[in-house]
Order: sequence, then C-alpha cells, then structure tokens
Amino acid sequence: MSDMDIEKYRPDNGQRIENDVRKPDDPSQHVDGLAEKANAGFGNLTQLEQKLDKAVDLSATENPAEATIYESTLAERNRESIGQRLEAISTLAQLEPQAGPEALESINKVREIIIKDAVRLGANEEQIKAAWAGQVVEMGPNKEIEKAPNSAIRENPIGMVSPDADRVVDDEEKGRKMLSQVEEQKQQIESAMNQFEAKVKDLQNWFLDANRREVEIKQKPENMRTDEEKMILTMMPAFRTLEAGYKYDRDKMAKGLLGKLEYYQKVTGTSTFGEVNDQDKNFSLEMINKARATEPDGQENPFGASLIRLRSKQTPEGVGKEIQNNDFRPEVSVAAMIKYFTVKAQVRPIEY
Amino acid sequence: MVQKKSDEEVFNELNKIMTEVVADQEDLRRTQTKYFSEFQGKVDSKKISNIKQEIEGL
Repeated sequence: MSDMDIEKYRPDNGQRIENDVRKPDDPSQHVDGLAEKANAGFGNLTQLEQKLDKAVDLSATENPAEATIYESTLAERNRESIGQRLEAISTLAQLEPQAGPEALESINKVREIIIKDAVRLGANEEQIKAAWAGQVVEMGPNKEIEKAPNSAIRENPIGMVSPDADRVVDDEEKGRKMLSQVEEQKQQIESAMNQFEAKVKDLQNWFLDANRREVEIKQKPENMRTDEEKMILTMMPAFRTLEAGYKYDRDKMAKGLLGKLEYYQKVTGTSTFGEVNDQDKNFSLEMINKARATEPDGQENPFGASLIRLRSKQTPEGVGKEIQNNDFRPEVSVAAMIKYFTVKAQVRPIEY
Repeated sequence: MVQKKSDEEVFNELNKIMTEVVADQEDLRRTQTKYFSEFQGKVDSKKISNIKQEIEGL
C-alpha cells in the first residue's frame, strides 16, 4: 500500500508543491505525529480486517445467512468511514488555496494518508477525485460516527491519553489473542485442504482416462470386468448426474467428485468406513430417502436407482450397522462421500 | 483573490482533520474487534479437528 500512486486521484493534474523548510518545533510536526498515528492505525486496521475476513469465511461455512448480515453491517460501517475520509479530502482541497508553501507540504502528506485509507476502505477513484476537487461526496448517513463511543479521543489534543485508552488496549489485546487462535485454526484447515487439492490433481488423469474407457468397458462381458472397471461403470453415471445438479460451479463439483472417486478407490481396497461419522451416515440416509430413478426431464438416473434399491432393503438403523460392520456397499459410500467432499470443497449439498 | 491563512491556522485545521481520522480508525478497530470476538465463538474447532483427521486418513 505504501507504493500506491495517489497522483492518479488528483482531479486537475496539477503540480504537487515540493517544500520542506520546517524549523524544529514547528506546529506542523503535530500534524506529522497524527499522520504517523493514522498511518499506523491504517496498517493495523488492514491486518484486523484480513483476520476478520478469515473468521467470517470460517463461520460462513456453518451459517452463511448470519455471515452475510455481519458482512453487510461491516460494509455499512466502512461506508461511514469512507464518507468521513472524503469529507476530509474535500476540506483539504478548500484549505489548499489558503495555505502558504510551508503548510502545503503538510496538506499533501495528510491528503496522501487519507486517500490511502479511503482506498483501503473501498472508496473509488471517482469519489476521491471529486473530493479532491473540493466537492461534497454523498455517502449516505454517516452521522453515527459523531456518536461513536470514543468521541473523547477525537476531542483530545495530540499526544494526550484518552480516558478510554486502557480499555482500548485491553480490547486490542483480547482481539490479538483471538486473531492468533483463529489464524492457527485457519492454517490447519489450509494445510488439510492443500493435501486434499494435491490428491485431487493426482486423480484428474485417472478420471479422464476412466471417462474414455467407459464405453469400452461396457462392451466387455460382466464376468470379464475388473473391480476397477466395475467401479468406473458405477461412478461415471453418478458423476454426470451430480454434475448436472451443480450448474453454478462445475469446477468445484468436479473437485468434489474426483475426491469422492479417490475415496472410493481407497474404500474398495480396504473395505473400511472408519472415517465416516454420524453426520455422513445421516446424510447418506437423506440421500437414499430422496433418491429417484428418473429425473424430471425423463432421463434415467442409475445412481438414484441404486440408492432406491438400497432403500428398499434397509432401515436407517441398517445403514448405520452396515457401515460399522465394514460390509461394503458402494451406494452408501457414495452418499457419504458426496457429503464428505462437498463439505470440504465448500459447495452446495446435492439435492435429489 | 483568496485570503491566505497563517501556517498556524492551517496546521490547526490539519490537526483537527487528522484527529477525526484517527478517532474514526479507533472506532472502526473497536467495531471490528467486537465482531471478531463474536465470530470467534462461532468457529467450531471440533469441525476443524474432524477435517484434519479425515484428510490425514486419506
């Protein structure tokens, strides 16, 4: 951000006045002190926002609606700050023609910091240009800032400690600890997701090859098919059916399914469902109960048909027992894995 | 012709502007810290642990 070219926001392409002839103890140093404070606050806020974004992302996987409300609230609060920064830039523009050469340098410095802060908050180029030209830029209601609880800080002269200062430090300390914890959790997830992504990439070639081999395998007598070939015949129709349900993001869906295929391979090799938890089992049951053999457009759904066959044979308790007893059923594993990998890939669950 | 202000007057104006910016930054930081605290409680560490275990099991 320090390399930001703020000159592009200058409305008149005028020349910036270069002048630094200040004397020691010059009153402009007070402005410099505040400017440095604002710059530091700018960096801290950027970091805090990044952490907050991560926390929102994490919570969004569990409660998207609530995360949206929070994001909206924060966006509105940012708009208020943008309005305040634009107003400040506009005031500077009005001040500029009245200032002598010495004070102009400070105006430029202050403007640079405020523009950077405004950009960070989301102000656009046109808004800043207008403010720099001295115009009043409407940003909606921003009067709430005036009612902010730290109004005492605002009224303090430079260098004085605010009555709220201790509480601010406490809040910040708590915030830092929380940030650290969430960062650690986030890293754990990222590490796990990276492993998953690597495995998905390795599997892509296998999947493409399986897709090509499907027709060839169908021409072979059933008793001549290998276990892998049987698996391909089961999975490819499932893939196409599920892919059709994910109209919004084929890439994510493909990743989820590729992961599912890999898991399928592992399961066929080990016949264990030790990793499948109650949530997966419940989702499997839900999938099985909602399955249909024919899509609304009349197209056959072999995957759904296989789930229906399973439904006709087993009770919900039976499904759970089978998993626990390691009695392998591809249909159950597929349903469980859909949940497993779609959750990891943060995509919408499949609706049958 | 625009009447010039003394340097002191200009610096006082700048002082006021920057004080307001810093105060708003403080307020923003408080708001975000508060929200962050609320979100922290919503992150299910058990779920994260499950993800890690499941991925390691692949």
